[in-house]
Amino acid sequence: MKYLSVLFFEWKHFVRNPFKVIAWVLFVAAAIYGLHNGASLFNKQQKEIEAIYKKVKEQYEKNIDYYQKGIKSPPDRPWVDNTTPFWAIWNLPTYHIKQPETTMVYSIGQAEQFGFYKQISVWASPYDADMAEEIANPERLQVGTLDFSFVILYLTPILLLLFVYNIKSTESEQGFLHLVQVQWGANIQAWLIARIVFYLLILLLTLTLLIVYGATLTKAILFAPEKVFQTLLICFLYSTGWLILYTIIIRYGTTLVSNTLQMIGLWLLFAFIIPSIVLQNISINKPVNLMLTFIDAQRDGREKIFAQADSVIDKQLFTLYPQIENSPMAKDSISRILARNFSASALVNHQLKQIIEEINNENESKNSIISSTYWFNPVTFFQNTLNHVSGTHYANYQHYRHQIQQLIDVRVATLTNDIWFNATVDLKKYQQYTQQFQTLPN
Amino acid sequence: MIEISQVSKSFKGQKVVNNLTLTVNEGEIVGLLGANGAGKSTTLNMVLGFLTPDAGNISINGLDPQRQTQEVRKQIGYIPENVNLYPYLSGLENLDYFCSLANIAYTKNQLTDFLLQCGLQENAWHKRVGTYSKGMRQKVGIAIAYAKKAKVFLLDEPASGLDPLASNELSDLLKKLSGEGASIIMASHDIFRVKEVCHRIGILKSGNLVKELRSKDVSANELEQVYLAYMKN
Amino acid sequence: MWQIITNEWRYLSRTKSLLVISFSFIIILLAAAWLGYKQNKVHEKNYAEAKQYVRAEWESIKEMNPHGAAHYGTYVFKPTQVLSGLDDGVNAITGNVLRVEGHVQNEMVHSEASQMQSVSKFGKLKGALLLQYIVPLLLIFLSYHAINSEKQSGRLKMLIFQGSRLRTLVVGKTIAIWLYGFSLLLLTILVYLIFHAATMHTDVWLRTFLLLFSYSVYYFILCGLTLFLSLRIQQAAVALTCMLTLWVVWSIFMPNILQSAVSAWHPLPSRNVFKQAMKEDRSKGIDGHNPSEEREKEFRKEVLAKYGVDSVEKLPINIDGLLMQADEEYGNIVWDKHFGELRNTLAQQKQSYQLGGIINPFISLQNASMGFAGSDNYHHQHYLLQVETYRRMFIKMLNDKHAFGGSKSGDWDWKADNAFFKSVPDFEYQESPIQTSLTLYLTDIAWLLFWFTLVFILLLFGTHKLTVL
Repeated sequence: MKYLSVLFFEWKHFVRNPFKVIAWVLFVAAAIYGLHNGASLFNKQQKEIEAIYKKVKEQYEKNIDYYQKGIKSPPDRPWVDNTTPFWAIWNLPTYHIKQPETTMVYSIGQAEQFGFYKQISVWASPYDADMAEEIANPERLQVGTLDFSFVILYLTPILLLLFVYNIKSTESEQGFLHLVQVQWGANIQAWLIARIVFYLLILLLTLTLLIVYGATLTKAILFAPEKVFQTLLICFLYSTGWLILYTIIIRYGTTLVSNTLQMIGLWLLFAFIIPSIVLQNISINKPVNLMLTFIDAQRDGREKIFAQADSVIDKQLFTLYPQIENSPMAKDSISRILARNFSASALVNHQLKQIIEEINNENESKNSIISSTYWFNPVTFFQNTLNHVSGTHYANYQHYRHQIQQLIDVRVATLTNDIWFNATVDLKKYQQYTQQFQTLPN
Repeated sequence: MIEISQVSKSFKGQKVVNNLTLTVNEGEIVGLLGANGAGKSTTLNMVLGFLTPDAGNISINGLDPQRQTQEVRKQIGYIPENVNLYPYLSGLENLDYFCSLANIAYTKNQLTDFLLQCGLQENAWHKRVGTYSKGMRQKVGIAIAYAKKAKVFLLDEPASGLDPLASNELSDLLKKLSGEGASIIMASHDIFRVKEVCHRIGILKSGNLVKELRSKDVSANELEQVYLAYMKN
Repeated sequence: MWQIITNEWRYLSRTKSLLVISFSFIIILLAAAWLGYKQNKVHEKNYAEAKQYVRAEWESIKEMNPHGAAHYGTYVFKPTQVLSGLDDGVNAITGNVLRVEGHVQNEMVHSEASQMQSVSKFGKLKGALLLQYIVPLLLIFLSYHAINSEKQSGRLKMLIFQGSRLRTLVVGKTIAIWLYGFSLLLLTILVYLIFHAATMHTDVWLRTFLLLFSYSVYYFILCGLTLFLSLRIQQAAVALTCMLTLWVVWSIFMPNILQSAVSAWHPLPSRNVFKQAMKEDRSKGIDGHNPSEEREKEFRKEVLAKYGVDSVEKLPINIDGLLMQADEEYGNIVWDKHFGELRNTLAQQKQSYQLGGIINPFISLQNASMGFAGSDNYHHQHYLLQVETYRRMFIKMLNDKHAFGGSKSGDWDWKADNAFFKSVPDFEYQESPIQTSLTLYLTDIAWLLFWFTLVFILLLFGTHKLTVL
């Protein structure tokens, strides 16, 4: 009964303190604003994707028209022969899209640092320049977008601080803590915790409503309810973690100012100092990759492949695709030249893949360092966890790159195979290509 | 009944309370007089269970404040020197809150009755405590202790800063409580108030109970002379 | 006044907890200065090695068709600025590598932020992070109680009766606490400059002075405002809460919200739309006039007329080089138009954002800090423009060689020799001197001074009617 009374009276403590109410209102306003920012980026990306699909569809229909009418070449490019695998695949527009997840509403994460659509060709790679992020003001990116995760990670601790900073210390400083103790009985900690729990309940209720509201903006509640629940759980854990730290400070602290200083200090430490030290450390020990190996592979590597003796190129191609060694084109020395020239992109792709693996490994080693700091760097941990759930984490984009590579591989393999087997592309084959190049291998 | 038997307490090697023995019977008010640092508040804090004596025993109606803290506190009404309370709650709300902390549920009428009995006028009940004078806050503090229906009252400088009228009302209330059988210890600097309210008076100096006398045996002037004599020596 | 300041410093220097905090702060600030310096050195080394490597590759071309070389291209890497160790600005966000090649102006790619998962929303442990976020908090904590403690302890009455004026007391205490912040600032910057002594030059000195000035003014604003609130508000805790709320709103909330708002007010095109528009302008001609085929026909006619011949084969030069250069030049016009619009939009965003300084001096400080450190978007754009200028020169040299090097039209096998490739100059970035860009930051300086004046007036006249009780 008395615990309920404490909770009931805490409501009065709360509503009669204008700072706490204003802080809560500001928090809710910031969270709603953040959710709308997330939803806005989601919608913007969706719109962009629609425009790309439209463009692809137009191009596709134009090509289909050629096949239906039996036109081999567009009038302005007579050298093109769409019945050959090379030109058919060359002109087949395929984009691989990273569809934004509906939970992007909660965390924009690294979504603005990467491209989310990529035209696939046999010469493409997941680190091409067209993988650059959307055009944005770098100063805005540097300041950071106020999304929901920002509100959770950085403003929740401040809100909780403003909620609980004066608990116990006010009674102590005003000289009636003893009175409270005498009234309450033996264990005043229960009174303290009951009061703090009230604010946890307020916050959890607020977060639940906000998260549900956010879920309606992008329909995440319908498409990814389990992720909405995960977000809720992460936010609960994060808020509770901060509240536990604050409870410890309040439990052992005596004065209001000292408690506030310690809470602010803790916030600065976890939100600013530790993450910035970790980042600085990585930046010094694993400096930004200027992609020299990739540059080399794209320029000199390519040159070197083409400068090799024909027999060497053939051998390399046969090693990669053993089935083509006995293909009709391989048996004819004249046809072989054409096939070789049109399928040499497979070797470039193979070489680039090795370089890309090195780059990925280097990036992963940075990620491992970051992950290894999580035990003392919880804000970064929760930030990345939220990004994961929202599909805006580095790993999500890495996975997207991986898919791009898979689609390039499919395209290159098909091209090589069909060139060497001298396939003829008709409408049916073209439609088959279209399907095949959009489907990720299992 | 409060029994303090050969209690001592030191802080950083300095004795603050030395071998103090004092008994307060039911219906009795005992005043502790002494200068700052004489050990009055330390004594009260040990009785309240906030401090553990280095030596000796304390018993509240047969209970040990150190071991049976919760039971003891249920029986104690405590009025600190400055009853500041929550400034944004009204007097009535503060009383309600503190009663609920003690797990006592009263109706609104009962609560207002307590306030009235402690001298807080009706027009002040719903005003925020932040607008109260010190005397009014003190009355709410007393009402909190009174509403607890405590058998033991501990008052730390209760009349400090009160105007004569409020001080007088406090005296009347304490007498009323003792008349109902409460055991009361009142720590104070105010010789005249102590003389007027208390049945017995103890003079503390450097942690020692240097003199114990019955209030009715001395006049206020004589008490002052005795007190000053001890303080000067 | 002097006595008030020295007395306040005595208090600051004799408070044990404050000494511990100050000492810890100095250690962190010095560590940040050193780490900033170290990171700069690592980046410089990386940059120099990459630049040298790419240049060596270019110079090692024995012979190549100039147009082949234009496709082979080169790469430029974004160098570090001396003061970016203090304020990293947009450096971690923008890319680091830009491919310079024919036909196309590439985007800068491979930013540091894209090479790992998220770590810090507020960047690296640079001087700016501490000086912008943490030192102000310390100053707020030092200031909020300065007057209130005098009031609550009754000393204020005594001081007034001893002849001190309330105004003098408040200004004196403000200056004393401001001096504390200024000392931390000065120490950080001095140590950083000592590390960089070898690379200092006039422009960097001037930039450093402007940085010092901006931070100093901001610190005064914070100290003065907190002291004023400390006098106005009876309870010290309420004064502290007010200032903390203001700090959160100024430093965390508003920059975010305002940046998003200005992006909405002056929207940038999507990359897809932007690229498509450029592509169309280049092929169909700007605004649909003068498509590329017609341009080519016209140009061919002009060249033939100029050389007085009736067919390409009779030309003493290789017309392909001239055609490519003409196409490049048209492409440059298209680029100037579209990127010009883009830069204009970015400039409009910046100007609108700068206006935020009227309600939030932190915004002005942040702008000024990045700007004077040479790590803001303006300096980034300046870099990109220089790269584009270089690209134009680079491609023109190659096209001219293709046209006038000795080959005939249609001859794509002709090759330029190594001496030619060596003669193509490497890209050298010329940093923008602060004098040329100072006007861009005048708005920020003006708002900081506006706030400074406002706070000074508050301290001088706002204390007039205040009671000491």
